Amino acid sequence: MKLVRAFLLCVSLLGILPGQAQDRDALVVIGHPTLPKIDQLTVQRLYTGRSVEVAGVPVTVVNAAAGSKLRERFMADVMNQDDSRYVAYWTVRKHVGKGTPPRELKSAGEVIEFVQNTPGAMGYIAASDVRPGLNVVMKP
Amino acid sequence: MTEEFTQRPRRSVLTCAAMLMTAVLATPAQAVDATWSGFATLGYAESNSDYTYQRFIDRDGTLKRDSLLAGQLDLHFTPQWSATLQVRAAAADNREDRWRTQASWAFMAWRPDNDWLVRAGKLRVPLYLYSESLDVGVSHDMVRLPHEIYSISPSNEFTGLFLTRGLTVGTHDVSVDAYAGKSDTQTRLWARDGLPPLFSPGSFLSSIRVKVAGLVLTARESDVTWRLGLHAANVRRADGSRLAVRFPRVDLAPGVGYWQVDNSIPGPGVPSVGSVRNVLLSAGVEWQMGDGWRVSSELASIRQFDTELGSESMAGYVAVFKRIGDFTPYVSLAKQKSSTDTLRWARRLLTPGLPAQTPGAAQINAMQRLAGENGYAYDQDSIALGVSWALSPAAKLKAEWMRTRVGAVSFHFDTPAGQPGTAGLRVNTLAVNFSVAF
Repeated sequence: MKLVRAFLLCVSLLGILPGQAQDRDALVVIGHPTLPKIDQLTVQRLYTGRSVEVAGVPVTVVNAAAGSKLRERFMADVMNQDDSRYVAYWTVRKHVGKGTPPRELKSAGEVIEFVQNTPGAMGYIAASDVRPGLNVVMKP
Repeated sequence: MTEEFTQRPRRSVLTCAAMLMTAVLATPAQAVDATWSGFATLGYAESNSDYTYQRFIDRDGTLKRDSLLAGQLDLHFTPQWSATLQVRAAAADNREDRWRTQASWAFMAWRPDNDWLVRAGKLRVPLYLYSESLDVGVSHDMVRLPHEIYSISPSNEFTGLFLTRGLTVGTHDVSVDAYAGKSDTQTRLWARDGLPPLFSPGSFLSSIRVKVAGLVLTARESDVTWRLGLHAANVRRADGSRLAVRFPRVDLAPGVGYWQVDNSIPGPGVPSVGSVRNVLLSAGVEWQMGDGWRVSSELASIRQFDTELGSESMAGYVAVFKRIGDFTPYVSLAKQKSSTDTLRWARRLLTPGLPAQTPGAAQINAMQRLAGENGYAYDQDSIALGVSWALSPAAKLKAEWMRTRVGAVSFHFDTPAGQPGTAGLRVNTLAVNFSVAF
């Protein structure tokens, strides 16, 4: 019986510990209050310039600073690509006249301020930075 | 002559610049979001031949073939309205031995929703998979895109209207591009011997006016991009002079004669037209095969109506890439072959055989050769082995060895004075490029 309990304890720890780490590292996509909930594919299309509006609302997306951990996670978890490929994608798209890459903001505070004050704005922050009243439009 | 014809492109660019200025002035200053960017390539290429390839490459080496510097200004007035001006400095396309700075893109864009994009101004003809990013060296792994196919059209730029409609079909992102406009440009030709004193040996530029229109269908999945294009071009000489349809044969005796290449020499007269119609079909695919492997391949066929003497040809390439960390080695095979008629005319005209004792033979033979060199005949293939090293997402260092074989003839090579034609030529080319975007 002790052996079973020990085994169950180990299994629960294995289950919990990564989960806690995941929560600590999780990010959320936030939007101006005018924006509805959206799915991952829509976020991908907005951040690659293939979509520019959601439900008729023109959207302006912002990125975290290049090289930041948050951006790396966003690229891996939401965009399903690494940042170098994303930068290369925009290098081409920009220079063939199909738009410009999203603006980069340095901190969660800047992203929150921009998103709350700009109609149609969208960005992403760490889940731990979420404040009451923020419109979380997607959780990866 | 050249100066006269460069005025028109400048005028169109000025029109675009005026549109940009009007848009800027009409928008409150705080509403305009302006971003600067740019890209550049420093490229060196050298061959083992005296026959200059792609206008610049010979055994002396050159920086002119691939080097360029470009700056771009993007203005966003509203989420829907924007303007782009891209200025490029590179070897001049309207003068030999000079550099030229000109607008390569200058347009207003309106994107009312996810599905529509409307652009007006100076734009790039979407002929091939990578036509629009042709100058942005950091965006491809090859030192330069295969000349056999990417040179098939005399002009890659036009001033006009470009509509893009995007839609989703199953798992594919599909876009339909429709465009129409015009372009004043030059085609470069090479005269080995010329026709002294009227016509000097060496390069000469022929100014042409091109009206273009086309329809392109592009489908993208996560790993595969397909592209099909149908393009029409109406070409006329900028000075209004007519284009020959064919050259009549004038027989002086059995087996002795010449081709009447100009109405100033005896013969029944050269039939001519004011303009010629061209139709170009293009198809391309890029496939990310997984595990770092990628294949890209394109085919193009240009059909020319109204004349037997044009640039009717078929071209294609296949390139295989393997990404290994920051390195991407590749191999590519490319081929271009003009139609049987085009090659037959080149053979006829480049080997004039009027016996020297015939009165005026030297003059007629020289004119005949010159007329032959005023065409666009190609029969060549190439194999290239290269590698690109991504120093960062915005910088690439590339190196390539390429071997080009000419069959019957290729006007991609300049034949030096006193040398035989290009038939059977074998040329090795080495190139090193450093490309960056900023």
